[in-house]
Amino acid sequence: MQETTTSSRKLTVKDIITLTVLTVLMIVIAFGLNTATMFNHILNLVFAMGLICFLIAPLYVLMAHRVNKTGTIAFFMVAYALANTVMGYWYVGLFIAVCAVVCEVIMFKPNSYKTPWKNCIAFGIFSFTMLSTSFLPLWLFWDKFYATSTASGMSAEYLNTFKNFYTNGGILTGIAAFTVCAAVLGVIVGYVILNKYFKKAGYAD
Amino acid sequence: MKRYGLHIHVHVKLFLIVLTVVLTAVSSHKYFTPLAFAAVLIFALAQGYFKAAGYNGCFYGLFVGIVFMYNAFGWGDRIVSRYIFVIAANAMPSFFACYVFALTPPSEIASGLNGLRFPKSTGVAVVTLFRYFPTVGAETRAVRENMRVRGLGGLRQYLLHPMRSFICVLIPLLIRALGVAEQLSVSAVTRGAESKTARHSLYEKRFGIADAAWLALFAAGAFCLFYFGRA
Amino acid sequence: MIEFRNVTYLYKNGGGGVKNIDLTVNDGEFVVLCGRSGCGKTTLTRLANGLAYHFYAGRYDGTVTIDGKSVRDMPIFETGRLVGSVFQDPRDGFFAKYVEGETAFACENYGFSPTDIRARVAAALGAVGIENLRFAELKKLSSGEKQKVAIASVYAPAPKIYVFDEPSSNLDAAATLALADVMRALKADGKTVVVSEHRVNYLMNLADKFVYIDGGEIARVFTPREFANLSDAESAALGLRTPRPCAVNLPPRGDSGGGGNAGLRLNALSVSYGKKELISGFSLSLRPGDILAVTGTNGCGKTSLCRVIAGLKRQNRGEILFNGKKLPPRKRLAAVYYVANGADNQLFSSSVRDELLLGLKADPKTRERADAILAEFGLSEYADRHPLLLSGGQKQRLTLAVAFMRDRSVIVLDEPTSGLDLTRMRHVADAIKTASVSGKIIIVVSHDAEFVNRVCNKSVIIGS
Repeated sequence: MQETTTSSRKLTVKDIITLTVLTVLMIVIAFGLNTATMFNHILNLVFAMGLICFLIAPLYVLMAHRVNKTGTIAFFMVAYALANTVMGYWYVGLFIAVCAVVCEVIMFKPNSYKTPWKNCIAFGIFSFTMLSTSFLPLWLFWDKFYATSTASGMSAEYLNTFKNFYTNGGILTGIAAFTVCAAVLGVIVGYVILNKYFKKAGYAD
Repeated sequence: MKRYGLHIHVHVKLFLIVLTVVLTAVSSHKYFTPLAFAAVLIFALAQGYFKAAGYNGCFYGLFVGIVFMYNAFGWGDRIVSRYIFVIAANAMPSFFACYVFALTPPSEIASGLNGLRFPKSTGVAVVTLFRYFPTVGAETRAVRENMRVRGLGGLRQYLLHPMRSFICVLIPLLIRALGVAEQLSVSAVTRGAESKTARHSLYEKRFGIADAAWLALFAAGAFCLFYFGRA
Repeated sequence: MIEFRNVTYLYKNGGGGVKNIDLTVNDGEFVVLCGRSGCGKTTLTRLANGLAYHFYAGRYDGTVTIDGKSVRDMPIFETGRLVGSVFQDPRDGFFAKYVEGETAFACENYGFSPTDIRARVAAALGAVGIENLRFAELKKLSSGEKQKVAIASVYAPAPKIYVFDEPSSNLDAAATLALADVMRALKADGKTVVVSEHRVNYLMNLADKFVYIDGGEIARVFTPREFANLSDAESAALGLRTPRPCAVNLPPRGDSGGGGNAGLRLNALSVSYGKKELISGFSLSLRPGDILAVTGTNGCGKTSLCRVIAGLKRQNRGEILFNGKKLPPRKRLAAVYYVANGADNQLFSSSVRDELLLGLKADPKTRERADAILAEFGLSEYADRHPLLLSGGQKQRLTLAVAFMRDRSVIVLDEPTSGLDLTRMRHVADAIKTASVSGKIIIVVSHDAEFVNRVCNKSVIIGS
């Protein structure tokens, strides 16, 4: 008897639709949590990204095992980049797109998306990328960012506090460590969920 | 049902112009964002999107008003930072432009993207996005309702058993999402989504004088903002 | 012409499939594939429209050809030009917001010019009789109208073959008759039609032959006369629903009388959906052990009424009493267990046993009770299985078992037999009778007249 499926590495319509549906859910969770924590600046900039990555990691793991083709993580990262661009941060979009290419290089070999440790690394890079976007204005466009923000109504005193806080190496390292650890932990939890619910029910292999 | 007046490529290009203007942040002129918002508002009203103009206008006014009150009354940022409202107000022009863009039938966007040499898969993703995104809220509500029936819902349960609550919302939502993805895929592939021919749209129209006029108007407006607004 | 030559197809995950199929469907023929759930009739439709080769993972032997061209060798989009496919629940397969956009979807994909697309859309809407719905929003349509839109969308590119997979599953009686009219028009147009169904009574005057499939193989081919002459007992032995028209034949609701305050009482209830009041001044009285059938056309308010009874929605006016006490929505949630249409959203655990124990203390006494309830509902052998791996009927029995475990006095079921064959329908009916014998009040919303006649002891028609 002959097998029906061929081992094509190209994304098919089925893959694109699956990726889009799961990406929509991930972005809704991410933006929802980001907005919910934005009322408190410390909560938003210190803890939010780690929490978001922890919660969307199971969806990433499911996506990786369902699609398992080159372009999986890039699809999600580019979609996230576009969503950020629409919300007003074009340089964020560009930065994420570059990091997406880096992640795809890591996941290039066949069945990389079914390898837990590779998924941990790729998603860890994703989480660090997301975190970095908060500090890109500081690192790249501080003068313009300062001018635009003060013109929009932000107080100079507040902006200087923001700058002092996030140019402190110790604080930044702590936030980055928390975020990446939360992301990796999320992938581990994602595998527990995948094995217990989805593999057992035949939704992933 | 509304009939859309402009060629889809014009929609795409106007959207990109507004996005570029707003996001380049070349100028720190304080009327930069309001002018960009006003431009999109005029475009929306000219297209007949009165409801969209009303909703977005109200939200923009609300965010600007709140920032004004922070500045006028000297409210502090300790508990609720004004930053969120500043970001929201600055993002409104591009968000509004995106909203107006999203009112275009997805099939027209898909064929427009195809015409702009984007791969056909981009059109599939756009159409799926427009199809699935509006249903996420209803799907989540349905799952939470089922949790209430089982005695697993409510604030008390969410606080006492956060992980269990998260799993109880996530698992059915994901299973339902995978089911919808499969049904959409079956529906798409049996109706030619993988065909190699260029995609057209029921709503396609020819590029006309109105399209050229709007493009010229927006390009001129962007030029003026850049030229007169430069620091 | 569709030809199946010694076709065997087995799914990679091991479920279902077909073996040694030899079948010819001639041009213009109307063929009904029937059999128990899991017999392989859906697999045959997937072989005809190419999904089995290009979408699902499996192993195959033999050939399927359409007008001499191998389906396996054709890309699926080419098969889509020849074969239009209509599925059980069209709602999840829609992409557009409006009817005309959805109708145009296939033509847009195939690259027809805008002028051609507009002409084909108009022709398709006319052929199916929904020109008046051209600018309607899809989400506001009834199930029958949605099914017509699905047919129009595959009609537009003008395929010569139409394949339907259980198209009447979610339709009420009137919508099923309307579906039959559309199929009649396709047949009159000379189209080839293949329908996979187990509710076959609406196809009796349409089919040229009935192909009965059992265990993945063609067991018998009936002529229309032979099929029509099957007695109810014979069709039941084949696992088929009755081939004869079936209407609800139950005494109307009335006051149960006597028994004092025991049971559920609805007094002058008014229920809305959005801003529209669907039900007004509705009164009803049910005693422990009653099984009430709630019927009516799609959109008349059956589901809204059930959600009000379950405490998920407030009524506009009127009151609901249980055992003589008024029940506000929050208390109704504790007394009523509501099983919505589509059981997958209501399954949260990774095993059948855990599903019963979810949210309860996992002490030995509770576990014992769970095992006893599983035995009562015939689910003991599936105790460690993932709920999503159960069949449709088993999932329904599981949701009833959960209602028992939660010790709710009233159980409301919304379309519990949607898509179920005769055997599984009977299992669900038996489980419901078990529940009512123990004193539960059961309310069932259903279009399934066979099921209602079998299990309910009274009925109410909403909208009458």
